[in-house]
Amino acid sequence: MPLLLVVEDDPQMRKFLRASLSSHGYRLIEAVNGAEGLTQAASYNPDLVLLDLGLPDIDGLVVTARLREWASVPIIVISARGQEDDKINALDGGADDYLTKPFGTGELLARIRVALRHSARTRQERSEPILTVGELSVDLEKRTVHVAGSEVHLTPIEYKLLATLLKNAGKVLTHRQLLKEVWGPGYANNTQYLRVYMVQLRHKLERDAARPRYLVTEPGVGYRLRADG
Amino acid sequence: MTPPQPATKSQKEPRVPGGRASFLAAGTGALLATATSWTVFGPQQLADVVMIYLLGIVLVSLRFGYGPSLFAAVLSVLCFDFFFIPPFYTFAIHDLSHIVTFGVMCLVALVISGLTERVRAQADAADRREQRTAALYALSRELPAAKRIQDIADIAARHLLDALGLQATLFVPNADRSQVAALLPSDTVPPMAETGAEAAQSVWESERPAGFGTTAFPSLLETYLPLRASRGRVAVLSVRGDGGGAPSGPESSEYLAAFANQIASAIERTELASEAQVAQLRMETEQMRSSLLSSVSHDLRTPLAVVTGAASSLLEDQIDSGTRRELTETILQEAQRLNRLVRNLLDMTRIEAGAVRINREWQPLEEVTGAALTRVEEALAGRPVLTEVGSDLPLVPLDAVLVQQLFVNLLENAIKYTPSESPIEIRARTELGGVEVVVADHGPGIPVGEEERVFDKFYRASGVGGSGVGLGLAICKGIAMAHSGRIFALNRAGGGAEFHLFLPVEGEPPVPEPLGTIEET
Repeated sequence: MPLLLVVEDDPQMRKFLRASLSSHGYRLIEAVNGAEGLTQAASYNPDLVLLDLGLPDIDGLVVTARLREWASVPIIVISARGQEDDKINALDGGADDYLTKPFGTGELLARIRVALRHSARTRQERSEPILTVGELSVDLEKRTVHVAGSEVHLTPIEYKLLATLLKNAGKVLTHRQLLKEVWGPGYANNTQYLRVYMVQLRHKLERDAARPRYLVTEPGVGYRLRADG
Repeated sequence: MTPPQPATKSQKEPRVPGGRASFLAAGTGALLATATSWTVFGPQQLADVVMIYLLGIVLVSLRFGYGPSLFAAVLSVLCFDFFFIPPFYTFAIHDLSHIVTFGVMCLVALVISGLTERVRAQADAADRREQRTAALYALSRELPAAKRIQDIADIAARHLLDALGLQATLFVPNADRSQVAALLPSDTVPPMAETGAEAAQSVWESERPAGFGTTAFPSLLETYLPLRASRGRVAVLSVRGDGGGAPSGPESSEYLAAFANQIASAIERTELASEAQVAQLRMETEQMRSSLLSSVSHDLRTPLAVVTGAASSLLEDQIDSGTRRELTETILQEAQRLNRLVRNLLDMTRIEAGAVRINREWQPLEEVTGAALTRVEEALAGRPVLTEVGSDLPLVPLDAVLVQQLFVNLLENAIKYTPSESPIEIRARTELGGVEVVVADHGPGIPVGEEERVFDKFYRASGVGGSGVGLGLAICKGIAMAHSGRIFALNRAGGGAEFHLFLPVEGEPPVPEPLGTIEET
């Protein structure tokens, strides 16, 4: 039973999270502010942290940074809409994903599952040679890509971009993270290039590039390969 | 009588009375008359000779005025005596009757000079009047075009200088009309004495002239005049002529008064216009506030009422599982509706307050429409969507978050107001100077004549139900405007509504630095 730490100051929000998460088999510890959250994280070593960005004492971004100093526990930040910059800063600062208020239980559970799966995979330090999402499948050893059974030819950059997204399937990746991962640390600001490549990739992989099923845009933040697509 | 000579640039060359030249000319006239008489008539026809002399005097008086004509008359008499009256070539007179002739000649010259002088003065006065009337007319034509009080001050200063030779300064009241301050013409900054401001203030308070030529502040070189219009005092005007103060003479002060009246009513007109504008704005704000209140209270309370009711029913024990599920779904739907309303209200407030920071980046349109479609995926519920957003379109400089919201609003609108199986179309094409995206549906369309008003805040097309505060399209318009673009709605020929968004594309996307080679790992 995975142990989740919820850092949230609003009691009703905590109540909702407690009810929906414990009924889905998660164990829960709660903190009402950032300082308590950091202490709890240190003493209980949770499997995942749900962190509200608007905390009364310490900024959620600071909490993320402090946690990352010593822990690799997945962090999902919870923020209100219209705080795109905060989301990007949290993600670039080490958070794994974000949820925008208001959100439903379905969305919450999906994000938690993705984050836990991802951390389990990185812990094992080994990944299966073939990654599959819906009709998409990528053979990381042979470096081949298939869509609905037929092979698609990708350029090296397209392949690397897809592989990066696929390794983080279900997780949002910021423009900066993708650029660093695919092109290298010197290209972190060439978002426009990234966009052009994403369009190309969609046209090769999606049935309807104008209504993507897999390679979805998180406006103002980055991209996500939708795992349940 | 020498009338005051206005320093008028545009005035015709004046007839110069006096001056050495005119006396010289007068002398020449008399000698010319002598020469003509001598050659033509000789000393025998004295009557004709006298007529020639008189002609000379008339001409001189017409051209040069009183003094020279008298000089010409005296000279003429002397010449007449010298050349035509025996004994010739002396000034001696033997026949006493000739003295009478001289006297008559002098008298006639005097009378003629007086008469011509008066005619001349009248003509001069008429000229001046005409010029001032023209100046007044010019002022009255220019003033209505003035939108700001500064323009009025500039126009007034220019015309007063041209027509009356006066340096003019306008003193206008402050917001609570307790004090006046000089509104200097925008192109000049004349030094302003402290006492001038004091005098202007006292004129503003007492509504009586002060400064030069009055009992209050008589040491000043300017005269300060109160300007009054139909609703009372509007400003203070200070004028200063060459010799200081306002021009003397009833005619000139009448003109000055006419100018002052024109300026006063122009000031009052701008005041009335700005008051009307403020009143209009206040009315609109009031209207908006009341319509906001009624919309908000209705549209927020309805879903809240449903949520409250459904949740309290769920708390009761004797509820079967079917009803329980139904109530829960209702709560979810109403909460989502509330979320949309609050989101729109917040967006609108942010756009209106100018709090939205446009973060423009070169983006493929396809990605933005794609993201919008992803966000409304659930609401679309499998409804057919036809997209023609080619990847050959140019990159467009836009704020992805805002423009995505714009499309979400358009799509949500289409979903809300059209039958659930009817298709929605998104088409984009290159236009001159930018790109145009059309979101079209197959619903009932927009009521004819309301195509523009649907973008107004809190406006909801007549005859349609559904929930909403009427903000979605107003937000779209705000976002389009923030991108220097435009949005408009049309009804399509085959039925349904069409929303056209034009986004300008200026310049070229920056060419990114060459990318590093990808290491094959």
